[in-house]
Amino acid sequence: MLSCKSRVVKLSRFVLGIDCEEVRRAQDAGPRLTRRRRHYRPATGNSVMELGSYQDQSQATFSLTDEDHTLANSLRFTLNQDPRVTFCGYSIPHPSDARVNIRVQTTGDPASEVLKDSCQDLMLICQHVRSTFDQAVVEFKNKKGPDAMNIEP
Amino acid sequence: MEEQKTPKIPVWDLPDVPKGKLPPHLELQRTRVLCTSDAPTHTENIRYSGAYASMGVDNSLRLGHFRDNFRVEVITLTEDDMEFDMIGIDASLANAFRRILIAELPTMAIEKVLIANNTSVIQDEVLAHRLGLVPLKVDPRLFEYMSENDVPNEKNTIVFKLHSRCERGSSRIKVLSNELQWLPRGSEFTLSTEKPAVDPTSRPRTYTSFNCSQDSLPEFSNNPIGPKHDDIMIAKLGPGQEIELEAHAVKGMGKTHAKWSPVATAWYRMLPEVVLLQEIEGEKAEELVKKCPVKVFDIEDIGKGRKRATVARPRSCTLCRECIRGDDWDKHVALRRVKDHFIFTIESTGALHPEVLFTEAVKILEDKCERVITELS
Ligand code: SF4
Repeated sequence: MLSCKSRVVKLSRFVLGIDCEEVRRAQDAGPRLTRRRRHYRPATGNSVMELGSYQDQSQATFSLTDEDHTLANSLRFTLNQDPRVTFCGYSIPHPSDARVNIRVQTTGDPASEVLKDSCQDLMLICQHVRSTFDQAVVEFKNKKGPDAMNIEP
Repeated sequence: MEEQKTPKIPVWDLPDVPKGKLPPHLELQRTRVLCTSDAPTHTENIRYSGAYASMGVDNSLRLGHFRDNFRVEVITLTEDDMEFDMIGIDASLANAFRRILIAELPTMAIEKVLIANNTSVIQDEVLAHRLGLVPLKVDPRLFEYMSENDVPNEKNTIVFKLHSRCERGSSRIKVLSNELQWLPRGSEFTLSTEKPAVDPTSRPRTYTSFNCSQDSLPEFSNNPIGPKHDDIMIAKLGPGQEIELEAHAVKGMGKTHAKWSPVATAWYRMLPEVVLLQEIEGEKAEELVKKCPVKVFDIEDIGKGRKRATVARPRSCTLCRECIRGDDWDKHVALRRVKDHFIFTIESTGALHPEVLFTEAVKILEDKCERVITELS
């Protein structure tokens, strides 16, 4: 039911590109350009792919590009704690391909909905972590006095 | 483990397990890693929602429960590092924050070095690499990423100049990071394609195209950009040697190159728990105190000249397991780790304060979730 077609693995991001032509041109006259690298920037655009079937939406694999253990393991945690989930797990098919596959099987609800809810839960957890942390820092600074730690106001 | 062996009781004589609560031995396995003399056991986190369903215990995610139990306690906080306790959170999330801190929080770092002259013994590429690793004191949130086809402008590039020369006849000199001089107006090197200017008033095109000077921007006007530390050795020059270069810093992330990582390190450890399973008195207590290299145990006087061992500083335990080695010491002392109590340490390289780094890291995880949600709907 699940087909993961093999894809051409794009390696370009991990290659430190030195554009020889440019180095030579720069060397010919004046300063030498030592290196040039493709810059990584946070991914934008459509990069979540759902692999599943229309007949049975309760199980699917979600292929997320530009993600790794950071998100996948956190999502596995929240997914596993959802009573509607019968199975979930994740894998990184190849270390040089910035992609992670998350498998979700549910008791009947559409897998994408359950995954979305888990993301929502994770966001709420994060928001709570952030507010608790900020509060703890403020309390600590008040207790110690702001100049005791040379922290800028 | 020996000491947990319970006497044999017929099953119908067992007391009823109270609903909604795990029996103590399961609760221990769920919340603690047991460090026995050969290996740690029960290291896994039991996350499946129905894991304890047969005992009437709900293991599913309850946000209210999480909110009631989650705590943060700041232990130390300085300009560069901080230590705090994060209590009541799963390891997967603590680890996600750590990974984001190291690899996915952007900073500014020198990426391109234009070398006009380098007669020192240090090669161009090594020099460029050393410059890249110099931490810069600048808030990366004020800058944009530069992608391949972007022109370097005042929004995505910071330019430094370094010109150092050791005169003939003098002794060798050191080139330190404080010689990196910020050029708020951009590069001063003219492009090689540029013709000698006919009109002296027009500025020739350089390697950057700044529309305005960076020090005219309110963020930097009285907060000049420079290296975080003034005394980082970049090179040494002998008599007659010279370095003249321009260094262009751009925004990037630790997963591209470690020079963009905003932390020297970010790590956590679980809180150690040292429990005395029996009273340890007299000579044995003295022996126990001596065993521990980090002085976890203390002696307490309990009257009538009797002495008893106590656990005074469990937090400093390194779990070296020296105190449970030999004889039957593991029947007297139990070493555990609390699974949901993390002692988190962040060492900033200087671009942002450690508490800001952590908040930003949590925000990044939120953004990741949001991205998945929007793309699924
Ligand atoms: S494990 Fe090592 S550090 Fe910890 S209490 Fe025992 S002897 Fe001390």
